[in-house]
Amino acid sequence: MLDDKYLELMHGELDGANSPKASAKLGAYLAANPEARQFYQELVSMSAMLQEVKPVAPPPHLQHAVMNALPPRRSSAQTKPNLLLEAGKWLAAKFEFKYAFAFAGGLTAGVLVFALFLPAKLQEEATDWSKLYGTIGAPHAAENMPGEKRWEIRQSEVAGTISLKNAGKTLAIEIALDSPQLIALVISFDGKASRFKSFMCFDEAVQAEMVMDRGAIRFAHTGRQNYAAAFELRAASVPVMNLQILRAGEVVYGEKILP
Amino acid sequence: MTELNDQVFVRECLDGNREAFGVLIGRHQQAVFNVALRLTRSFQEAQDITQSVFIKAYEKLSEYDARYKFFSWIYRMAMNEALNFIKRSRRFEGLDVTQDYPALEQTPESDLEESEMSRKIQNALMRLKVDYRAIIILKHFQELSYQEIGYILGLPEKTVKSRLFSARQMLKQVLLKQGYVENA
Repeated sequence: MLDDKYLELMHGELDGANSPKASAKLGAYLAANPEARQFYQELVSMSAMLQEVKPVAPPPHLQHAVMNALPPRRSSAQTKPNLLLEAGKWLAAKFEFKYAFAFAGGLTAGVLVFALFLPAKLQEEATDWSKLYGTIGAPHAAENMPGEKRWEIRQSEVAGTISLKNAGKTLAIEIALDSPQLIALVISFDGKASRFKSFMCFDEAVQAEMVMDRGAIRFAHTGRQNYAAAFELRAASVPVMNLQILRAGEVVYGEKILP
Repeated sequence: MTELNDQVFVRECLDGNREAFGVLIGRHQQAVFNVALRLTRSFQEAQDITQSVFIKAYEKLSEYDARYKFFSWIYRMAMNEALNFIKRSRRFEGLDVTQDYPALEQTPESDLEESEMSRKIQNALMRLKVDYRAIIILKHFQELSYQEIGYILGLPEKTVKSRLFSARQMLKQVLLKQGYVENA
């Protein structure tokens, strides 16, 4: 009959969960106990067998079938509940607690009144982009919406446009570049002033790869690709960003975008 | 550089980018499919369960708690779907079912041996009660930690360990009896 505490050590050893001291203790026990040694070897053999089992690939059409079966989705902004309506329903349901919901109603009304009269300086101001510049091209006035700057790139290795759009607390960088060879676009940013929010591809057959590290995101692609990255602005001032285009590991374009 | 984690695509999907969910499917469908396959031993059922899991995940995406890993959440759903199916059908409870397992292709001998090994393991697994089968699958095939298994199965870590140890003992006994594990 094997000791339970050593049984636990055997399973822990199998899972790599034992400390060096526990492993040594188990080793000494196994060396002195042939029955335990046999038991443990059988466990090890079985574990090795289980590791030999390879995963089975799902049928190739499965992903497509799932995507086709997905219900229509609205964005989270559209699905936000009507708080006043929900509060009203709750109050009606809890009529017997009239004093409690009278207090809650008064508190809610007070909060709403306070929120309506928040000082204007708490509102986000549009960022002044007039001093943005870079060697990838002189910024020029936006043709459509305010708060937008666009750079055109006309080089032998890469051509296209990079647009910056500021929408209050969100900064969107849209990239439309074309290159016959693999290029990488690296955007470095100050994590205290801004936070990477999301990545979106505009082309169905996207070949762009995006990876993220602390303070930088990197897009790599060939051919013509159109995609965008969104940043959430944390500070009131424009964040400092470093934009570089690399080909075969060498910087083709690079500039610090300063406010 | 680290790859974008699942939370980014979840957020994208919640913002209305449907294709972001396709990325999540691509990343996790094999794991979900294999969990369902190992539990039910039916290729067709595993397909249905996988599809059902991802559709449910899409519908309930706003309920996903980012404190936990996305794949743990998906696995939890997959496990529940598969277990519910087993309870409804009562066909796969500790029985040696062979007819629905994917047919093997004609391959070189080494590949055939490996496939034969998988078949033996699967036969032995099917002799375990579903709770023990599930924990072997999550630990040995999906290589999850005790903590992750605990979240997926809704069990404390201590129970995960004791159930895993018992499951291993039982599986070992089955394999020994069938001559698939050599006595040391």
